[in-house]
Amino acid sequence: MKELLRIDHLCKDTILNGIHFAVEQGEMTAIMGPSGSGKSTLLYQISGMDQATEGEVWLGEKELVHMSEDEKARLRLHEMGFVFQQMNMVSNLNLLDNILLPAYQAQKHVGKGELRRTKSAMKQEATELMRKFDIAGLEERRITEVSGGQLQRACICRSMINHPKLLLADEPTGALNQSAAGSVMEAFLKLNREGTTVLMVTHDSRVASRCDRILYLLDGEIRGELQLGKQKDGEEKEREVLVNEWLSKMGW
Amino acid sequence: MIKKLIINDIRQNKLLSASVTSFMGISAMLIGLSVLLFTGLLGSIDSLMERAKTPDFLQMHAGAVEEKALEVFADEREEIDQWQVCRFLNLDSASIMLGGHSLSDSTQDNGLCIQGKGFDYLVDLDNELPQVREGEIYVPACYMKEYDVAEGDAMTIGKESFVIGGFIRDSQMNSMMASSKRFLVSEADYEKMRAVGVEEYLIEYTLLEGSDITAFSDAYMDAGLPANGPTITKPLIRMLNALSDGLMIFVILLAGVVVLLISMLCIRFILLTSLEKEKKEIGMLKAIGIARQDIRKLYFSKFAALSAVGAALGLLLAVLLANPLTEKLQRLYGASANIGITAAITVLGVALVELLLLLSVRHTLKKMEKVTAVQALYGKEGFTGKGHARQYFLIILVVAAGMFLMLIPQNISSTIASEKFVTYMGIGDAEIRMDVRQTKDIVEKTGEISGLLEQDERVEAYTALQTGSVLAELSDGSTTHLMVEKGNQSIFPVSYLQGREPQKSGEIALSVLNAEALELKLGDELTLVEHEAKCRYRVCGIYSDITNGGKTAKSYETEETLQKAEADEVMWSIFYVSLKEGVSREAFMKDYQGISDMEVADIRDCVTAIYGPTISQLRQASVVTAVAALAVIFVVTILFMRLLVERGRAESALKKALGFTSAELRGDYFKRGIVCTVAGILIGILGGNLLGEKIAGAALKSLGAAGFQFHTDNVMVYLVLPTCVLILTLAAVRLGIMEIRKIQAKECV
Repeated sequence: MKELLRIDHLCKDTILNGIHFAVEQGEMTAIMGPSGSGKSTLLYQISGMDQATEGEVWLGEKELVHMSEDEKARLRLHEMGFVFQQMNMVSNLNLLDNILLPAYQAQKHVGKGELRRTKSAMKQEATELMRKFDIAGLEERRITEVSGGQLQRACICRSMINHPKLLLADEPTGALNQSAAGSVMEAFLKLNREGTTVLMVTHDSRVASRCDRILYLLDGEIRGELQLGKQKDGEEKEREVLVNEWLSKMGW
Repeated sequence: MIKKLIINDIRQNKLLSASVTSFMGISAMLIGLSVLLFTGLLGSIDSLMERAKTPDFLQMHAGAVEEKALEVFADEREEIDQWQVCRFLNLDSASIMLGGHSLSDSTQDNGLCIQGKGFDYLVDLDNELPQVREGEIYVPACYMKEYDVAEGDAMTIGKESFVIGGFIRDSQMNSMMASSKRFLVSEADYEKMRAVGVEEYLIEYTLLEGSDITAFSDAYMDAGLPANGPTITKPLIRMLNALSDGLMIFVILLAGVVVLLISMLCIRFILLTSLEKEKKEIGMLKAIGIARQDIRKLYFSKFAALSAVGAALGLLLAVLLANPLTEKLQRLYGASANIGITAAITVLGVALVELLLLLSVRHTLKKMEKVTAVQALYGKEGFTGKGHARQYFLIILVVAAGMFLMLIPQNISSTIASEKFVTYMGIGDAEIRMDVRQTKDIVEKTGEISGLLEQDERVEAYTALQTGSVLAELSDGSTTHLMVEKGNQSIFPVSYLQGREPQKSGEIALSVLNAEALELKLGDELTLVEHEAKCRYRVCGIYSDITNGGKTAKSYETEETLQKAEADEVMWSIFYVSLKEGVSREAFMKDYQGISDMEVADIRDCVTAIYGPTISQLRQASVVTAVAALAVIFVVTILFMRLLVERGRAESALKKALGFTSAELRGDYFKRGIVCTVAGILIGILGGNLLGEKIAGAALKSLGAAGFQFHTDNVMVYLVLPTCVLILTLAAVRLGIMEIRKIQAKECV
């Protein structure tokens, strides 16, 4: 498989101390570790939302640590999706407009001769995404008028509207109850099955056990790695036990 | 999408959006209005002066005129373009009935004249030269409203009756500050009326462009031509015309500038408040890849749209308000010939206001760019930096600015209304003024009246002052003519900018304009040629004066010496009189009004007549500015307090979690609010009284009255206005911190 993301000796102040790993195309990777281990910070450096002090982050052929703020913003818009734990959305736009926001913005960067998406095509795509993640019919709702699970799935729709190569998620189920967390996780699995590469920070061993691989982060360094492979039907329990055993070995 | 975001945002934040629009609207209105009025006024005055062909130099003269000498002079001076001698038939105001009203209480010299031959035209309300038929009279436009008369009404002078044929604009004497008013009649009627009044002459010159009026004036004096009366020049005429309405415009402009500064401050804070509130959303927008410029554009477009609406509304209001305010101006001076230019400059002024505001918005938005997505999403720091102190400082500043704004017009109008004000204008602080002019034996007449006053038991004090033209030699050997007023200057002194009044012979005081023109300062010496002998004088004082063209001098002389003066040395005499307590001023004046060749005037009445319209305009302006200032203080304090509460939200939540009550937290904010308000009020009073005096003084100096000092209305300045501001600000603080109740302890988790 082809490598999509490569992290080389990445440092951020005293929080990250030389992180080194790679993610292959189509892979779904979880990053686990205790509070303060640097999981979220790592994700912010990878997305370019924060400035690393040392090291390199390669997304395909592009290195983003040394890019300007605007170049990083452009890269996030076109090639990455990001899902937050706190479902951040623009409060005075409805759900559909929130999802469409990055799509409209991306159209501003379409060069001459490149394919331009029409407004109706974008709207149709957003509606389809919403149907896919079971939130069809909520298009006109304000963000305060839907549940947390629905809002997080809308955030996933927004992150997917520009067909990113890499989907980053920071504790996407952290603020949700169990059933809502289940539906959000299903959404991620669905996207991954369709070929989207996912890198997710989580505290939840059940969520992590459904990923292909788990990296264990402690004190700003990667201290362990567990290869699980793609999940098959009926394997959930077995994988959960395996992950829990590994985590206790890591000192979790 | 941007449009949708902006519209939704405006809908959700109606209060903030309305604040931005109204701040911009008020600033644009005030600045637009002052620009509109000012350019309109100057344009109108210039249009009228051009149409009326106002003379560059004008010598009023009572007594005979030898045309031959004037002709010789005119042939010698190359700078003269045209010259003429106009006649002015000075009437006894009491004999004039205008539309059923007697002019007996008029403080003006009312008289008849005929249309000028080559220039100095009196024009009608269409700025055309009226064709005056026999039996018709044209009335000064400023009397139209004052005496409520219309075309076709009757006017009688003694036993003669005239029909008002129309109204005239007089480029020289339009302003109530000019002391004479000319009525226009046909030549035949003028001749018929000659016996009724006393004839005076206006010797008028227009000069070629670029001529030096001062040099011409000196040459005129040197030639020994008729000069029994004030000398007036074109710049002085323009100044008198601009003075009465200029003050109101100045106050509006000042209010406009202060309100604009406050508006910029407030809009900046409204912007920071919304940035603060939407910090997470901004972080999220950055996180999903929206470029910095695009986020900035989002806010910038919103503020540009709101302020543009405000500017348009302000402009509209300015135009609407300008109409009633310029009604009188239009009547007196006519429309400006350059309405296009006036409109263009006004729009330009408002556009400049908008530009300034948007620059400040842009500057503020730059702060947002320095914050990364993660800092915006999770950081505790705001865009505005850490210190709350700055915001409290801003509350102090706004309260101070508001206070300042209220005090300026208040102080100017109380100063003009004060009894002392005349002393800045070169008039003694007495009750009654008597002018002896237009008689061949002024000296004798003066002595006679002195005798009467001496014996009159009702008189508390009086002084006689004689004015004559004296040749002065300067240190560089050149000579010039000085109008010197001689007498005891200590009884009713004018206000001295520097030094004091002359108290013994050998001392002379100069008006500011003379001191500047002669380049003399306190302690300098100059030589006067008196009775063909040279006398040395030392400059002991400098005072401001708007009488007699602002170029006067005062020296000390005992009454005995005055009475020995030669008749041709004296142009006129003035008596200043104050009465004992309980004496009726009217009865006293009535007794003296019968004396021929003398005019008696109540100084306070004169001041009311001259400055009354200005004072009432200023009173209106001060009410408008006070309301505007209080409204601004109220809104801004609420906004700032809300911002402070919003910024201290986490801390307040924590305190609540630790057991503080809402009331205790509110108390803290309230105390700080009181301290800020009191500090602001004190700074405002200091600024309004000291800095305001300097600003108003500078404005008045450019109009001729130097050395201006505020006479404050202490109850208003130190009690009423501060109390209003204090109550209002504290109410605003209370309203602004109500939000504290809604902060929940759990928010700190």
